[in-house]
Amino acid sequence: MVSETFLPAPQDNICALVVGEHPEMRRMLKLILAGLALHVDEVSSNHQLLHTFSKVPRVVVVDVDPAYAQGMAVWHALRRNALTAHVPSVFLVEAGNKFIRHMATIAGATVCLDKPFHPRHLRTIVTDLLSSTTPPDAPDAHRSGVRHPAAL
Amino acid sequence: MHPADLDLARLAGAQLAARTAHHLLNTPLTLALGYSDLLAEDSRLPPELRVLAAEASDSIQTAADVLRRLMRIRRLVERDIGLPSGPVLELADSAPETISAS
Repeated sequence: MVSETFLPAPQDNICALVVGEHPEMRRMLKLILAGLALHVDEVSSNHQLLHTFSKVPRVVVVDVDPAYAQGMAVWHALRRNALTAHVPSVFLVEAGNKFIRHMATIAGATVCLDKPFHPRHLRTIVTDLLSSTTPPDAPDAHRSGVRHPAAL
Repeated sequence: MHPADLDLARLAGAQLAARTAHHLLNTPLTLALGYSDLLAEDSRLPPELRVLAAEASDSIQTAADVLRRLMRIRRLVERDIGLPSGPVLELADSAPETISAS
């Protein structure tokens, strides 16, 4: 019943990147964010694939467990990648787990959201991040060598 | 085994079970809550179905709250509710919402 066919047309110049280990979670996150009329790319939690997204994201949603070595590698890869290093990020974390929340903060999370969560909460967070952060084609982005595709 | 050691071992076992359940059920609960919410807000659905989806969402949220509460088990207070399999934990006393400093 929930079909992307009926979602608002994506705005080509606003992109979100979903990074996650579970395909089912990535699918649902895409559906939630598509409700904001965002173009949504997704990559698996294999950190070697983190350069495969099609557009420079304005926000990244991360659903990987830092308790595993691969999860930690993904978190660090996001911060090392010039295209995602300064992009605000929402890290989905296990509710009540202070260790994971601390690790997410160290890894550069802008916001931590406890799982499980209501889709409207994620949409509100992403909307706030998009409205409060500088688009990638702003002067700061040019200085760091990152240009938004729409500005090329 | 000394009774105090036995109590500690039982508590550790309960906390291990709670931690495992929380870890394994977190993603399935996230998916269930997310999709039920998406259905509840889907204007293409008849109102009565959206109400059912909202009720499902409430129940999933309750289950998530119980799991989260189980993560706070600090002592074992049992309650016999007549189950053939044995007593259950009295959550209000075993996993208090707030932990005192003492």
